[in-house]
Amino acid sequence: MNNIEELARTLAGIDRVLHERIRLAISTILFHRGEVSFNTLKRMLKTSEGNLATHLRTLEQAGYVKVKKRFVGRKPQTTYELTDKGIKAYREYLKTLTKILQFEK
Amino acid sequence: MEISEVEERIKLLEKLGGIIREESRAYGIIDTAWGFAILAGFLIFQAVEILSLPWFYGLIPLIVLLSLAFALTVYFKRKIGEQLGYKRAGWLGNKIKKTWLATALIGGTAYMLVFWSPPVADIILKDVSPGEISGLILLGWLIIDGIGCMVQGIISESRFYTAIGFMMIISAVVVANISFVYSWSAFALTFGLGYLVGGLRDYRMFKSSRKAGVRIE
Repeated sequence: MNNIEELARTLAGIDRVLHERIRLAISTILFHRGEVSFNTLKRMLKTSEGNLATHLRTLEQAGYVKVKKRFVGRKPQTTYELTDKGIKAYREYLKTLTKILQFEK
Repeated sequence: MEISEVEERIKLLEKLGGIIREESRAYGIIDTAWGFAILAGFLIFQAVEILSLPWFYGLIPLIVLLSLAFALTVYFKRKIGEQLGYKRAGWLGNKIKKTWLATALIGGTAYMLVFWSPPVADIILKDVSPGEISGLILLGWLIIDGIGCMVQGIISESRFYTAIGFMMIISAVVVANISFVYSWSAFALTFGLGYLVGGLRDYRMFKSSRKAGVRIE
């Protein structure tokens, strides 16, 4: 198999759930920060609540993110963190990106 | 999918990484608290050793200062977590925690077990004056914590913390060739002062940086 074919296979095999920009950004923040509140994600990503919630739901459905709901004082707070599956997928995704860049070189 | 798409994702990761790193500087205030406790506490102990005062004159302030640093750590962690919206440490924080646990707990326990093993203890107690014993014990910790600090610096890509660790190990070699008694000031002036200054610098940088975010189209 030549390099072009291998590159095409790597590109085709990339994790589509994580490859989307906002989902990738969410996963990066969760990977480096552990458990993060919805408002913090909104602040860091400068995106609308609806958009953020949609992408978080996709990540949750893929089993990459788990949600925690609690009360802080009287205010409800929703936080998110990567599951073990999510951490593994994120690392794999980064490896794939590196591999693709190596092909380019 | 185009290669340019992959490059664009890499750029996004780098940008986010920069913001995460900037926000991490908020935790510098915790390093400052520990740096101050070690600097003040160990220098007091050094004075007690040199002036041949009763040992508890040095130990009591040291315990008070370290307990204060511990309490401040709990307080600041909660406060910063509330302010930035984080609940617990992520990948890097966990790696650093595990590094310190492995170095200080496993390395430190092994060192103390060797130090107090009957054959080694016999030789040390025979040849070292009682006043130098605490300095000799601390000398080992200077090397162990120096390694921990260097590893922390390497993992977190901080040349400053790597340099502190390096200075600690070098100071251990210098102290070993002069007198064990000075281990206290060596620890205070490398680890203590280093963490105090480094932590303050990080915290000031965090305070002066604006709260950035990434707009993703």
